[in-house]
Amino acid sequence: MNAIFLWIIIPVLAAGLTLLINRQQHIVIIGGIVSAILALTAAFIPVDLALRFGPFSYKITSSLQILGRSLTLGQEDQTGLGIIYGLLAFWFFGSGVAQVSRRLVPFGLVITSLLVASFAVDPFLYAALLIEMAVLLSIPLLVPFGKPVSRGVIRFLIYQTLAMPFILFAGWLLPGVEASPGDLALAIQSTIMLSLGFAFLFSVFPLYSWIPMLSEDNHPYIVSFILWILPTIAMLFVLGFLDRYSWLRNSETIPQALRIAGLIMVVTGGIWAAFQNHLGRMLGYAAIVETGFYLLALSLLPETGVEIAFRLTIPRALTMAIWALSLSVLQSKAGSLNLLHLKGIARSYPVATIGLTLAQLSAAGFPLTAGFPFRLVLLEKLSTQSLTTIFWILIGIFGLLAGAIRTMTNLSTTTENIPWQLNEDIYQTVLIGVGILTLFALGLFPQIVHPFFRYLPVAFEHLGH
Amino acid sequence: MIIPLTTSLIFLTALTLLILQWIRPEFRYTWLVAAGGILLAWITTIIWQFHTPVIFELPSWKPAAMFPESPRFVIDAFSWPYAISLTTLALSVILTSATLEDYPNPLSWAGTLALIGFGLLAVLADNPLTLVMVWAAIDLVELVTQLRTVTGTQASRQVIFAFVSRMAGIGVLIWASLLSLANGSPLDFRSTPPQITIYLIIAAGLRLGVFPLHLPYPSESAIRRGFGTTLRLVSAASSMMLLSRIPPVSTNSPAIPYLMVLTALAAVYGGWMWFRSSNDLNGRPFWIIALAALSVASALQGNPAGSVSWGIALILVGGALFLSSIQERWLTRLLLAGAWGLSALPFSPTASGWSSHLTDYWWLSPFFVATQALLLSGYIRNVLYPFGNKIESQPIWARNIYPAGIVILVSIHILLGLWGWEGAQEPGNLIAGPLAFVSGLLIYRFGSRLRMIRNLHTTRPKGPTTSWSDTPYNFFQWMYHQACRLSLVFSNVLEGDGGILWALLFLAFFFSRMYLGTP
Repeated sequence: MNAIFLWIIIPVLAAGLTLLINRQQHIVIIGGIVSAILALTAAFIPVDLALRFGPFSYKITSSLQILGRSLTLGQEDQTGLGIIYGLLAFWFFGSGVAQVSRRLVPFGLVITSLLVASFAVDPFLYAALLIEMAVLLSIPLLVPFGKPVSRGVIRFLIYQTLAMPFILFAGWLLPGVEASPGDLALAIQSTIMLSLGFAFLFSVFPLYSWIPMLSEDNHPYIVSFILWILPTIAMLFVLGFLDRYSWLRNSETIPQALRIAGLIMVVTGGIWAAFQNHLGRMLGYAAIVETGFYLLALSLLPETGVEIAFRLTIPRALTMAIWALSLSVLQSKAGSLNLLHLKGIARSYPVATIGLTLAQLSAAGFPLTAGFPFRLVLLEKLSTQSLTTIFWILIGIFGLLAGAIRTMTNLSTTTENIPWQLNEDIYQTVLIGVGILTLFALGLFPQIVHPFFRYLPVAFEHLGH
Repeated sequence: MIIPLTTSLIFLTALTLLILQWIRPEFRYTWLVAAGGILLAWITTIIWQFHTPVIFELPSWKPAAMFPESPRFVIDAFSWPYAISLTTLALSVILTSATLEDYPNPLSWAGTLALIGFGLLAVLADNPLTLVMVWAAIDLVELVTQLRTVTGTQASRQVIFAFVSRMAGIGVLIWASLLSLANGSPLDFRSTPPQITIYLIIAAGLRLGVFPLHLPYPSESAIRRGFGTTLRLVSAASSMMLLSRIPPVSTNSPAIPYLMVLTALAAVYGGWMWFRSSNDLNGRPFWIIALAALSVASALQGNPAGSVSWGIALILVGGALFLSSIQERWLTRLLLAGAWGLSALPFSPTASGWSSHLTDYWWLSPFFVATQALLLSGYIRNVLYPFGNKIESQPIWARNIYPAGIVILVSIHILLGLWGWEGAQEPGNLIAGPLAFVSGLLIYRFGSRLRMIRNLHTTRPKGPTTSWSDTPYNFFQWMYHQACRLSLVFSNVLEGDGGILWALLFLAFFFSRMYLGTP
C-alpha cells in the first residue's frame, strides 16, 4: 500500500462512488466511514515501517511519482492527516442533518484530497496550483446546479485566485534569496510577494469581505466547511514555507507581520460579529477571528507556535461544525437566519439553540468550552511579550461574546408564553448533543487530544521542536 | 479523596433524581433519596474540618509545558466555612421543601443539588483556572434556568445583563492572571502579587453587583423559595470566595479609596432597599448586594476572615429567612436568634467582620455601620411579618421535618462563631459591632414612626425592576447602537462594488508601512 494511494487517491475514488449513490444516508455513511478509517490509519499505522501480522509483513510506503512529480506523505505528515480526516468524518456525519450530503461528501472528499496533495507535492510550489484547483471545485459545492452565483462566491473566487500568482512569484524569487542572502532588495521583493499571497489565501483584513458575503447567501454548513478546511491547509502551507527557508524562519519582520495581521483579524472580526443581525454572517466573522488566532499562534514561532496552532484546529473545526449544524436546523424551520425571524425560536428548537449558543461561546473562548484551554495558552504566551496585544485580543473576544449574547437574547425572547417543546428529530438531537458534550469534554480535559499530536515534533524539520 | 467523595455524592444524588423522574415518575421515595444523599454529603463536609488542608487535583492538562496549572481544589480554613454553609443550605432546602405547594418536585431538588455541587467546587477552587471554569458552569446553569422561566423582552434582557456582568467578572480574573504572568509569576491564590489583588476584588465586585452598583439578579417572579434561594446564594458565595483568597495587608493599589467609596454607597443602597422591601423574597437581591458590599469592604481592608464572615452570614442567615414559609411561634423566636449571627457582637460569627487590619478608612465606617443596622432591622421586620401557612395545616411528617431545616441553618451559623475556622472566637470591634446592633434594634423599634418609612411600609416597592442602577446598561446600549452604525458604514464600503479597490489600497498602505517604513 502506498500513502498517496491511501490518503489522496482512495478519497477521490470514494467521492466517485458517492456520486453514483442516490440515498443520502448511504452517502453520509460511506463518506464518514472512509474519512474515519483514513484518520485512524494516520493516527495509528506509521508510514515506512514494516508491520507484521503473523506470517504477513505489511508496509505503507511514502512516495509516488505522478506525471514526473513526486508526491510524498511521510510520518511527519501523519499528525495533520489524522486531524484533517478525523474532522472530515465529523463534518460528513453532520451533513445528513444539514441536508447537504449530496454535495458536501463527494466534493468535500475531492477538495480534501487535493489539499492533502498540496502538502505532499514536490516541488513545493505546485501546492499553489493544487490549492487553486480545490478553490475552483468549491464553486459547484457552494452553488447548486442551475442556481445563480452570488456576489460572495465571485469575490471568494477572485481573492483566492489572486493568491496563486503572488505565491508562484514568491517561489520563483525565493531560491535567489537563499543563494544570495545579502541581496536586501530581492529579499524584500520576495517577502512582499509571499506576504501578499498569504494575505489573500488567509483572507487577512481587508481581504475577507467575501467571508460574510458568502456566509449570508449560501448554506451555512457548506460555507462553514470551506471556512474550516481552507485556512487549516493554508496554515500547513505557511508552516511548510517557514520550515523550508531559513531566512524566512529567522526573519524578525515575519512574526511581527503575522502578529499585526492576526490581531487586526481578531479585533475587526470580533467587533463586526457583535453587530450582525444575520447568524450566518456572524459565523463568517467568527471564522475570521479563528484565522486571526492561527496567525497569532504562528507569530510565536519558533517557540511554541506550531504546537498551539495545531491544537487550535480541533476546537475550531468542532465549534464551526456545531454552529453550522445548529444553523442548518434553525434555517430549515425559519427559512432565514436573520435574528428578527428567529425571535423566540429557542422554545421550539431548544437543542439547536443550545448548540448554537455554546458554539458561539466556544468561538469566544468561554471557559469550560473547547475554545478555552488553547486560547488561554496562546494568551499566556502572548502576555509575556505584549500586554497591549492582549488588551486588543480581549476586545475582539468581547465582540464575539456580545454577538453570542445578542443571539441568546433574541432566540429566547418571546412576548407570548409559548411552552417549551423539542421539535428537533432524534438524529439532529443526538448529533448536536454529542457535539455539545464534545465541546465540554475538550474544555474540561484538553489532554484528550494530546495523543493525536504525537508525530507533531517530526512534522516540521526545523519548527515544532 | 474526600473532596470527590462529597461532590460525587451530591452530583450522583442529583443524577439519580433525574433518572428516577425520567424512568419512574411515580416513584414515591424521591424525597428520601434527595435527603439521604445530601445528609451523607453534609456529614462528610463536617469531617473535612478534621483533615484540613486537603488538596485534590484533576488529571493534569497536557502538554505540561503549555499547562503549568491544572484544575485543583483545596479545603482550608477559609473554604471550609463556605463549604459547610452550602451543604447545610442544600440540606435545609430539601428538608423545608416538605411544606411547599409544589411538593414533591424532584427536578427542582436535582437542580438544587447540582448547583450546590458546583458551588462547592467554586469555593474549593485553588487557582484562577479552576475558579473561572466553575464560575462559567454556574453562570450557564443560571442562564438556562432563568431563560426557561421568564417571558417578555424586559425580563429576558435583565437575565442577559446579569449574565454579562458575571462574564465581565470572569474576564477581569483572566486579565489578572495574564497580568501576573506578564510580571513574571503565574497567578496563584497562595501567593497573589500585591499589585494583582485589586483585580481580584474588582472581579468579585463585578459578579456581585457592587462595582458598579447594579442588580445582577433579575426579578424574582418565577423561581422563589427553594431553588431560587439556592441559585442566588450559591452564585453569590462562589464570587465571595475569591475575596477570602486575598492575603491580609497585600492590597496597595491607589484605586482602593475610590473602590471603598463605591462599596460604601453600594452597601448603604443595598441595606436601605432591603429595609424597604415588601417581603424577604423581593428584597433578596438587596440582601445579597448589602452583605456582598460588606464582604468586599473587608477584603479591601485586608481582612479575608471578615470577608468570609459576611459571606457565611449571607448564606446561612439569609437561607434561614428565605426558606421560611410556615408560621410557628418558636421558629420565629429561633429566627430572631439568627440575628445574633448578623450582629457582629463579640464571639458571633460576624465579629471578625469588623477586625480590619487597615484603619485608613475609619471615615467610611458610619456607612457600613448604617448598612449593618438596616440589614438587621429589615431582617427582624421580615421575621416578624405574618406570612405563609400555619404549621398545623401541614401533614404530621412535614411538621416534624420542616423545623429541622431552619434549626440546622441557625445552629450551624452560631457554631461557626465558636469553632472551626480562623474567624471563630473573635471578640471583634467592641465599638462598631455593638453600635450597629443597637442601631438596628432602634431602627426596627422606632423606624415605623417616621413618616417617610411609614409611607414606604404601606406602599412598598414591587421589587427589583428597572431603576437608576440600570444606568450603566442603558449607557452601554446607547454606545452599542452608535458603534453598530459605524460598523455598518465600514462593512458597506468593503462589501460594496468598490470593496476590492479599497482592500487593495489598504494592502498597499500596510505593506509600504511594514517593509519600507513609509506609506
